[in-house]
Amino acid sequence: MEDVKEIRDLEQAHAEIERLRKELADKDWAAKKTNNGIRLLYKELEQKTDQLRLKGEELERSNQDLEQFAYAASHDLQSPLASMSMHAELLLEEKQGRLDEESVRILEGIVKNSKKLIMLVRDTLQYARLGLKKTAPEVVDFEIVLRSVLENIEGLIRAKEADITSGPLPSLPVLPHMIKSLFQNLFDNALKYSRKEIRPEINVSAELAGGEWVFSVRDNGVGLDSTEKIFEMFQRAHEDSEYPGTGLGLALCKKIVQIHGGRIWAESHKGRGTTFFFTIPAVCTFS
Amino acid sequence: MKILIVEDNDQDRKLMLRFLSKAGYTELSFAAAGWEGIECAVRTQPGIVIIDTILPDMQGFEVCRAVKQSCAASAKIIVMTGCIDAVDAGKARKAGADDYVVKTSDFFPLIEAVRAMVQEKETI
Repeated sequence: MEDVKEIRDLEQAHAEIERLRKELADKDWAAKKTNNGIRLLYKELEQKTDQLRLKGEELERSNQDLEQFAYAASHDLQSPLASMSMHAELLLEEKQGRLDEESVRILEGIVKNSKKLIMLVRDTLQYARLGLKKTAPEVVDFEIVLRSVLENIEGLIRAKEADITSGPLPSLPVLPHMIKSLFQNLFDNALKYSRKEIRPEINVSAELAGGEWVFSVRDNGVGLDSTEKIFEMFQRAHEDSEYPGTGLGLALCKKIVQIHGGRIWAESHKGRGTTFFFTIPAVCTFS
Repeated sequence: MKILIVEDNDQDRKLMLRFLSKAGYTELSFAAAGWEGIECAVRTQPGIVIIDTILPDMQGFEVCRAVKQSCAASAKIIVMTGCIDAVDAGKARKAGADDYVVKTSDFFPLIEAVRAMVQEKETI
């Protein structure tokens, strides 16, 4: 009896050993397959990283090309245009009284359109150059930025007898030259689209909301029917004859805000004014 | 050799078709879900079945087990995953998988596994 039990125990032990051996072999198989897979994935990751680095270098080169093109274009396009406009003006002045009405009208057309073209080239270049300038963000006091922008457009403010007020503004890590350009464009807009019968009022304020600063630039100008497409390139909300412009100012603003990781939008009431809002993250999200 | 591919991702199916046929394997059939795969295996008796781990109706391991217990049991099975994991590899082995390979963008490990299986089957 004892012997039979012993043999059975031994058989069971053998079966258990066999089961464990099989399990161990399976685990070994699984580990080998997994290691092999990881090795292959790692190799693929390395290849992709290399490809990405090459693409990055290529992009860097094409950015440099674009920058060079922008500089070349700024000289090659702007100076003949300016010269063309000056020649036409000169002709108008020197031959004053000796030109017939139609010639004067044609010359004035040349002056007007070449000036418009100069503006368009200037704004397009400014837009194209944005983001190409490699400067590091620095913490700047927005109140100082605002003051410097107001000094720049002092003449225009006085001419329009505009009243510009502002609430307390924060200090944030930004690209200062871009932020100046942003405010300048928004003020230019507010002053340009002011109502003739009342004194232009512009108010700038900022408040912290959910990790970002929401800035607003509110005016009491002519307002808009729709704010839907105003941030797209070459979109004009007003007739060119009434308010001349290139349709690039707000596209530039949008690009500046996007570079800083923020959003821009507007709310407007026809005949009552427009408020532009833009956000800047409280913590620097770009480099 | 007939190869059945059980894979629900459309893009991956297209890529596998391209890479496998380029490697000379042209007798391919596809199933987009687990049940469809099992039925197809039983019906067409493929030499190799490639199964993705994640399918819309069941796990790839279950499909693997079902095929190995069916009249298509002689098929070699490759379980393929986009998300490599030693526990999953163990599950695949227990379900009767003959190989467990990772999905890469060029499907190179899969093609290699298919090549090895075809060779093994032809020498038997």
